[in-house]
Amino acid sequence: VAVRISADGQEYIRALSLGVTSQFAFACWLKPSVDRNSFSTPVNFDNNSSANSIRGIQTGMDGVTMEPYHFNGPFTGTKATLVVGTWYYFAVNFNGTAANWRYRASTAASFTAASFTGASDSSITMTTLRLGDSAWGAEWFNGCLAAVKIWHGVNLTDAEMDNECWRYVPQRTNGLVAWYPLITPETADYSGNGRTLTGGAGATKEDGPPISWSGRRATSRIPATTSITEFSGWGVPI
Amino acid sequence: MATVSQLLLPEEAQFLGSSFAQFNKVNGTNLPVASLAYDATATEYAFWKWVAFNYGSGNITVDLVWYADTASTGVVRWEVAMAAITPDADTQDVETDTLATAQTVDDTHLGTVGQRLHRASVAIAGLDSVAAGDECWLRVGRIGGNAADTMAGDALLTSVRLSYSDT
Repeated sequence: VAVRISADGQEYIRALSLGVTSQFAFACWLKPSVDRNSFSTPVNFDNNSSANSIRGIQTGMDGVTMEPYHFNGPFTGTKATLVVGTWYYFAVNFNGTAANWRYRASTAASFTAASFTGASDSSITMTTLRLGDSAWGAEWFNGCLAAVKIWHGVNLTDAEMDNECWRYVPQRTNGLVAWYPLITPETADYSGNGRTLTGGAGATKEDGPPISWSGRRATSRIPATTSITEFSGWGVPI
Repeated sequence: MATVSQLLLPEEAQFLGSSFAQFNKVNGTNLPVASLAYDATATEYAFWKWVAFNYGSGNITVDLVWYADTASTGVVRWEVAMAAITPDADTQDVETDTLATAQTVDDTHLGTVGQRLHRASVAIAGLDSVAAGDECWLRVGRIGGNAADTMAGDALLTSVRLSYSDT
């Protein structure tokens, strides 16, 4: 299950106060539910100003062509064309004036990678996180979000990006500064860093992406002579 | 003779890219409730990989523990199927393996309280020639579009319990 944003003003916001940042990463699952035929923004980082210091991913004016962007426009590189109603995983690194991502549709057999260049600035003042809208406002994402994970001061390797795809629970904890499962409209930061979201009023929930919570196997004990029961998916042995 | 039991949890379920149930967690009044959400009008599946530790013989009993998201009446049609491969012995391509014949069970909401737990039980006869130590896959689905499935709203699966004889 996942959070559904269906109107302007339903976005989530968090004051990050992470200072001047040149290197960070995020991963999330997203599903465009309705093509707004306008800029649509699942994830945005900014300095609380629409004038400068912005990073994120956003569709173009067609509503379905996803691209990473900075305050002066989109990065230069191969964009992703989304299909309305399909779940996509995106993992995105920002590094100075460059960026790269790996994404995958739920129905795809492999990841697609792309590298980007051309940001007007080599760092941003990472003041505010917005999920479901941009710093410019009214560029809201009409769709679903889930499993949002944010790392600060680091980039993920290709393998780490792919590894984060299949689980709500973050696999890399080094540099993790926030984690929002968004299984239901809630504001909690599950990373333990206390970066509780605000907003989300009116957001609802819909069917989620095809990923497990942790992917961890249950363990088993084998009986010698008597019946037994085994546990547990949380790694807690009986 | 003993009974071997295994517990498969929503947290560890895996999914194909389409027709999938979704992981769900509700923060209840006093405890969190994790589940897999199955739609009322679609066919949706979840998968678990498990090992047939000490499997002896006979059917494998699958208990599905579930509750209704919104309904307090109606019937849920569950479907269970499994596949088994013996490493080093079976030449079957694991990526193209098929599941044995699926079996269904219809479980009726017992009413009174909408979100009470129910248990649907089915004995898997389509065992795919399982042997002790086999690598196995279990698929659990709700056939929401079937005429026998009359419950409105999601069916939320909280656990799957396997049991079988070691002799």
